[in-house]
Amino acid sequence: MSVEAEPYATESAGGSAHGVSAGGSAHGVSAGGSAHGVSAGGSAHAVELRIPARTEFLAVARMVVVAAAALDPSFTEERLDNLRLAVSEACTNAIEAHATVGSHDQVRVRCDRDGGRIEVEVEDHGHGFDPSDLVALPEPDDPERLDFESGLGIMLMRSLTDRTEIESSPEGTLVRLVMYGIPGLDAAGNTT
Amino acid sequence: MVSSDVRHRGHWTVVSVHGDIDVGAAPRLRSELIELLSASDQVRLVIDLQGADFVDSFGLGVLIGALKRARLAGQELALTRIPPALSRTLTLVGLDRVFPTIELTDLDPPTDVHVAVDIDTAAL
Repeated sequence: MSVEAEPYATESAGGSAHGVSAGGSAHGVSAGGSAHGVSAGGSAHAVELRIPARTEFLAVARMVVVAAAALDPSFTEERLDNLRLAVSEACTNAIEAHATVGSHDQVRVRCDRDGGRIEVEVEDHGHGFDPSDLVALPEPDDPERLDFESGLGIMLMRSLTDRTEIESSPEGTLVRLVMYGIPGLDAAGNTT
Repeated sequence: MVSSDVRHRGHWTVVSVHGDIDVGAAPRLRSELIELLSASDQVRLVIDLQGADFVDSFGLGVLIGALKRARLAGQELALTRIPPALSRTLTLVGLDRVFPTIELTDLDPPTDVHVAVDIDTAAL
């Protein structure tokens, strides 16, 4: 493993006073605003979502994260498109990780928006993987390029975001995606 | 949820895809494209992506797989009306130089409306 996994954040209650809570079934989605009950150092603009580890819920995760980022006018349509795809890839990997180990746990998606910056965490309880084992894609002109029908997900996340961090251990994987509304600049206008 | 409809325009078969082509929808779309490419040895397939609201890496994989299959069989395959977000993704992964594109206006007018197929999102 290239990075040791952080201890996972204590789970917060799904539905806060401002949250939406849809039943306690395996297909439930819960979301909460951070002002109530997020334990992982949340700012006042964080949103946390738990989705069932099923692909039909990917659209929910994409919609919520992009809607949260879109509240900041510095995120252009193009940046929101990039975020939408990066988040979807991270959630897809998490859902696949749960499918691999037969876990029925929900996947936790947390986005924290602050001053032109959004940080999205996607956490699963799969087997984890070694990020350094990923095979580099052949160059586009390489005839073998067409052999890579899969394996694009992490490469896409890294290309689409300003920063992608992957912490993986045998207990699970945490992917952290960071994106600025204005590429490469933080809220104070400093180069990142 | 993804749906598609197929039209014939001259020698070309045009399949228009609508909805989110993600990991859930990819297997069914792959099956449909394989079926269209298997219809005859001389298939010339255009994939119309104007209604493809979202395409993830698995959606890209389906397009790559269809292009590979077409090339191996000596068939033609082209993309048309690629949405801006997908166009940027294709460029990002270097596939913009791999996929042929075509303008719908370069094709003959539609000759018949063939089928409309709903492709359910498949559970992983």
